[in-house]
Amino acid sequence: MITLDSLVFEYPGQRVLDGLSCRIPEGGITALVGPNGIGKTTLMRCIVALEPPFSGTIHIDGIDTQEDPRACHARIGFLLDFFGLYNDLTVEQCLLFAGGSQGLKEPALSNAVEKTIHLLEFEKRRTQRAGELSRGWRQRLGVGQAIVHEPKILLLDEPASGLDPEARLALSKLLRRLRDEGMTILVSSHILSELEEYSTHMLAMHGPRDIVMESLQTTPSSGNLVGGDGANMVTDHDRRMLRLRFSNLPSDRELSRELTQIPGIFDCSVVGLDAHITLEGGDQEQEQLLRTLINNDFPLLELHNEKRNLQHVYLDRMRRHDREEEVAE
Amino acid sequence: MNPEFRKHLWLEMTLPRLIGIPVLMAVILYLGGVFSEFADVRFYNRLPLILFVIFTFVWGAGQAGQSMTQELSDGSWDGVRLSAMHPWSLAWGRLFGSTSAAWYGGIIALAAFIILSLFHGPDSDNPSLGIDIILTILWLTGCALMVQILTLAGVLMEIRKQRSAKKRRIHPVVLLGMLSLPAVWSVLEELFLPIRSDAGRFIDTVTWYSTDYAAQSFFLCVLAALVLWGLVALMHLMALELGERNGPWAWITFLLFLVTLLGGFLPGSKENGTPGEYQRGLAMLAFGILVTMTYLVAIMEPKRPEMMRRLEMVANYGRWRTLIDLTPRWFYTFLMAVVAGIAAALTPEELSQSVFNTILEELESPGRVTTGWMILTILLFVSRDLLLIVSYNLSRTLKRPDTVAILTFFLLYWFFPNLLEAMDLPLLVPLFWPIDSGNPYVMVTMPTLEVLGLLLLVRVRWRNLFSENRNEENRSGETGS
Repeated sequence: MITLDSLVFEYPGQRVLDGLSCRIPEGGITALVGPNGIGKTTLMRCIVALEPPFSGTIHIDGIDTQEDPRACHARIGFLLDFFGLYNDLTVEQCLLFAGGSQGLKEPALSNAVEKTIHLLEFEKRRTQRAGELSRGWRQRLGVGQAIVHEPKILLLDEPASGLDPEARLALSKLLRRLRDEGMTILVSSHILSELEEYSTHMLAMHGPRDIVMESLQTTPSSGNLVGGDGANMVTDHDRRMLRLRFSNLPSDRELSRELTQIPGIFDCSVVGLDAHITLEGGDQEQEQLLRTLINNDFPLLELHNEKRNLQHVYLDRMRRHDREEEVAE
Repeated sequence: MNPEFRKHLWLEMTLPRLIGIPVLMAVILYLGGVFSEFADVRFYNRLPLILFVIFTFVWGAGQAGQSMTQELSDGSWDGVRLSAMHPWSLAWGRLFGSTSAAWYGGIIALAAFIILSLFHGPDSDNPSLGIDIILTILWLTGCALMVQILTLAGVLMEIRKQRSAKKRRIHPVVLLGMLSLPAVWSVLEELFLPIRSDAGRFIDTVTWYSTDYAAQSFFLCVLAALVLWGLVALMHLMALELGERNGPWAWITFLLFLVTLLGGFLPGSKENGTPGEYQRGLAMLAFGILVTMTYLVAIMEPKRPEMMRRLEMVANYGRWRTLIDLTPRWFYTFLMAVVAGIAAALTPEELSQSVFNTILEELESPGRVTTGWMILTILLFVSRDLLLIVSYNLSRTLKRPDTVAILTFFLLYWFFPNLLEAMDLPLLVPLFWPIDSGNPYVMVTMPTLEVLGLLLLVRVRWRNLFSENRNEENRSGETGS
């Protein structure tokens, strides 16, 4: 859906993107994470053709953003981190303008505006001026302006910053709904707990050249999540989070150490009778793990596939990245 | 309806304005009527036109500029840039939408002008009153449109330069537009306003390329052409904001139009002078226009270091089409000036007593250096000044490099030469001014040394600014290989 190939972008004294390549799959919500100032916003602005990259190409739904930016705009919705609204326009007028500027004509425009008003629960506020809305409702209107033309791709830059818990919950609910309708969503944030609620994939930026795509699904599909052949590409591994519950744990067993010695287990943490492990591999490896545990007399009571914790995956990825850098040095 | 136009209508045509503007006009015209009994009745007839100028030139241009600065300060401009609209729709929608309230007042003022001229004017015996009224309206409307276009284009250029614009009540570009008012008004008085049938016009005809044209029609045609070029410029600026490819061809065509337009006014044209003399005059005129435009565009165009860096990388990667699009317009203008300069230098110097050649003789101090040397010296000074502008824009410390460049030019071209003259050191003046010192080598050497010095400065600043980027580029190249 979104293909980035050898992107380069610079500011004086700093190369923010350095030959960066990756492919963001269709459908689902991808969390774009990384430390502050790493270039997440720059990357997003390049994707939506607000900033042309110094070199490299970006394709949105097969269209080169530099060759035909307006065609890309029609397929994209983008909510900037510091977005502005026309304070003197009503909610309905804001949506009519946004839809019209993306090429919608009557009667499709009115229908799209009605649908968005209904989706975002603006029925009672449609004649209210944007300047009179609270922070949460303004954010919601910003999202409304970005989705009124029903784009295939939605990009959100720090969408929940400054929102109260209730508004965050509403945003999370909305994003899940849009995802279920088939929209491809890329959300940038450095607050991982916020992304945890709805993300299906993680796109982690570690540096100008290092970007990694990880699946956060319980059972990740293998192979096709990321593509490209750049040297900096890290392909997605079949990796799953499992929770093992034991009936009892004799104190003389060092469970954590024993588990990590089993082939395929990448990481392990034990809390009470539960062990949270990261298994590298697919169904075969999981079956092999079960057999090993039983053959080794582990008092296994329950095995549960868990959605991978975003924070865990991110920090794990960061640790591996640091280790790789140390080895390289 | 164009969504951009409709948005501005919602923002501008508020109920208080819809009611307030006609009421205000009515009050002013009524008071004008009362006082006209004590003053010249002609002033009362011009009062609606003065109101039109206030509405469309002052307020309209202000609104056009403010529509941009407001969007930028409110953070909504990036939303507009993400639009799928055609740049032309965006350009006319913004131009006419943001000034809609001003035009609302302006149209009422014009309606009042028509009524007063027809029923209350001292020139009612003028047989061509109707035509004069129409031409007056066309002239003022065209000029108002031109001022609004220039304001909007000026603010767009400023935004492209800094990606920010201060929210001011009156933008400096609007003030520039105001400077044109005396000229606009004097043409209006001399050529367009209805007059008594027995009173003649100041000028009736304009000679252009040895053909006489009716002055009113000629001025209106030129104005219409300039308005069209203004709209083209606006569309191109909007296209740039939308991220579209934008080649230099429209700009080059505009420069050729300008040379063609002004070339028609050359004295001693085809019929009067020899062909060589005319070609030489045209080439000199083109050279003068293109050099002036080079400075104008070099100051106005955005020259952010990262834009120059992008240009370097595009050239390194051999992406020629992108390179042609991204190359600054001042560079193309300078190249055209060089071509015009060469043409002027190569045309045989067949001097006669025509006005233009007399001026040339004065400028060149005949018998000393040839036109070729003079042109080469001027081009070297232009190169120096362009390098100066670039070096200022590569500075880490200067916040307003182009303003500093203008101040530097003031020092270089006025202050220092005058100071040296006062100190009785005229030999040093060629350092600052392309003056005919009698020795062509001295004339050329001075600016050449300055150009070389500035090239060095630009190189050093460039390295300081992008050395880190280059290191990263090299590192990634090594890793990649």
